Amino acid sequence: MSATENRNPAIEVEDLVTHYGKVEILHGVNMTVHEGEIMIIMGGSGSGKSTLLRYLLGLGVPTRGSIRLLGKDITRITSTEMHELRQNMGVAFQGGALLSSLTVGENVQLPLNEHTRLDRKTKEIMARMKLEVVNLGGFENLMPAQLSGGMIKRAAVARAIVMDPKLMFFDEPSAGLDPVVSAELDELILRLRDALQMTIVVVTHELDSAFKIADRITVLDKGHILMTGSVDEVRSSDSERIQSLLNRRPGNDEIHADEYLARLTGM
Amino acid sequence: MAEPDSRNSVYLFVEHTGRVFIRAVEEAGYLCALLIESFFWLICGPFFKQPVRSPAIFSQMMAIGIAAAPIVFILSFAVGIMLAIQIIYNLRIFGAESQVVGGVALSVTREFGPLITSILVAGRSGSALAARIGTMQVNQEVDALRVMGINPVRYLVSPSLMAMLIMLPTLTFFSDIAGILGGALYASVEIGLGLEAYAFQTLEILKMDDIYQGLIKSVVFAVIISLIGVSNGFMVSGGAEGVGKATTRSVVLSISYIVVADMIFTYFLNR
Repeated sequence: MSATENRNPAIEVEDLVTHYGKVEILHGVNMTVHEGEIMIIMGGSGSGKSTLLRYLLGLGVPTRGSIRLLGKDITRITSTEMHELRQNMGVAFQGGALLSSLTVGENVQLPLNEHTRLDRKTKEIMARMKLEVVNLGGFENLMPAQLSGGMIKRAAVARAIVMDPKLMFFDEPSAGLDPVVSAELDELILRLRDALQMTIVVVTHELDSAFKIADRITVLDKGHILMTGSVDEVRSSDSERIQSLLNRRPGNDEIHADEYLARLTGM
Repeated sequence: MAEPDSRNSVYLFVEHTGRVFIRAVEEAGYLCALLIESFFWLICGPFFKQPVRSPAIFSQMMAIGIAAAPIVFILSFAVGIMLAIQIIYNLRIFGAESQVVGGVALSVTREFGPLITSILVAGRSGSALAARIGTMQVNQEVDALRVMGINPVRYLVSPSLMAMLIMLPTLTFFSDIAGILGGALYASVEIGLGLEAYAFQTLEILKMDDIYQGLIKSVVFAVIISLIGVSNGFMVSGGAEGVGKATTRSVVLSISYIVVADMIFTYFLNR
């Protein structure tokens, strides 16, 4: 049992079922993330981890189940309550998702402009402070197109933390980055937890990064949760699917010949 | 009941027509919802502490209106000259060339001013709206806005709609002046009608209703261009190719709807 498990739950997912068109993507997912914990959601491509993240962010309406963020069920709250809750959420998307028409500084100030009545100077100082946290001090006047991939991701983190949110979500933070920049981002995630006591959910399939920063890991496969546990528990799991994932072996899913033929021919 | 034969052409035609109809109804509903939500944020935003920012509106007004003014002037001026050429050519048969003033003034203010301006703005700003929002959709910028608690309709659609509602009638009025000026210059060269006399006759012939008719049309066209542009942008999927398709679709649909709406307006406003 990890130390964080004694704390209050910050995120609770119960029996989450979601569909894309007629296809069921998540089949009754249950997950709890405690306050101040770094939870890694891991899985292969198509396992449903990005879908789970979208629903955690309130970007979709599930078919069934509930998602409680900071005690509020986002599948049932009003849009005003959701608006208030979003001020306690920060997200660093895979590609950064900085608004390309705004400078880096304006991007970081955007949540402050929308949710606070601070004066311009204070907002500029706060944005500069957050850019310093992610080692991007002095870059506030550049446009996103002038930044490298790693810098865009760090600028996105600065924007996500500018309101000092309680919940922070990362979508594939290491994807497309060289090992040094990737390690810097890992350090940054750990600093956010330790210095700002944020509850952090990271969706990734980078094992090294996941093992380095995780308090606990949830392993998803084909829309089901295979297991949730500490790094050691996941590493020592005797599940063949988890071991395939950890050792980067292709899964050997059994396919019935007639079913496969029918799928190919459409008959 | 027997299963319909999927190879039956009648069955396929009915199925296809049904799908197209359902999609059209869905899109119409989406456009209505988008329009209502945009006005909701424009009017009620401040009461929810989520106002539509005036700098965003001014920035869109610059892009949609001020930046388009030179090309609107050139095109409308050219249309004014063309109208004068055609009208003088036809009136010469009856020896009534001097009646060109009324022909140009009424055609430009009631029909060509709003139509030319709207088609130009649809091609220029409607496509830009679709491309901008489509690219944001592909790059997850729209999702990022939602997650930051910034309503994308309030942030992206309402300022564009407001700017379009202000600038399209303004550009239309500007286009009216440019068109009449083009006609006047041609008439002064071709039939020796002085500019001062031309202007005096134009003011005598034109009624406020003629100008209002064009301006009312331009307000409706502004709504069409904005909504078609942003709705196609929001519906983008499939990366850069999707953005290209949405941009093309937005221009084609906007111009088609503008021409059809113009025809309907002209019919009802002139009965």
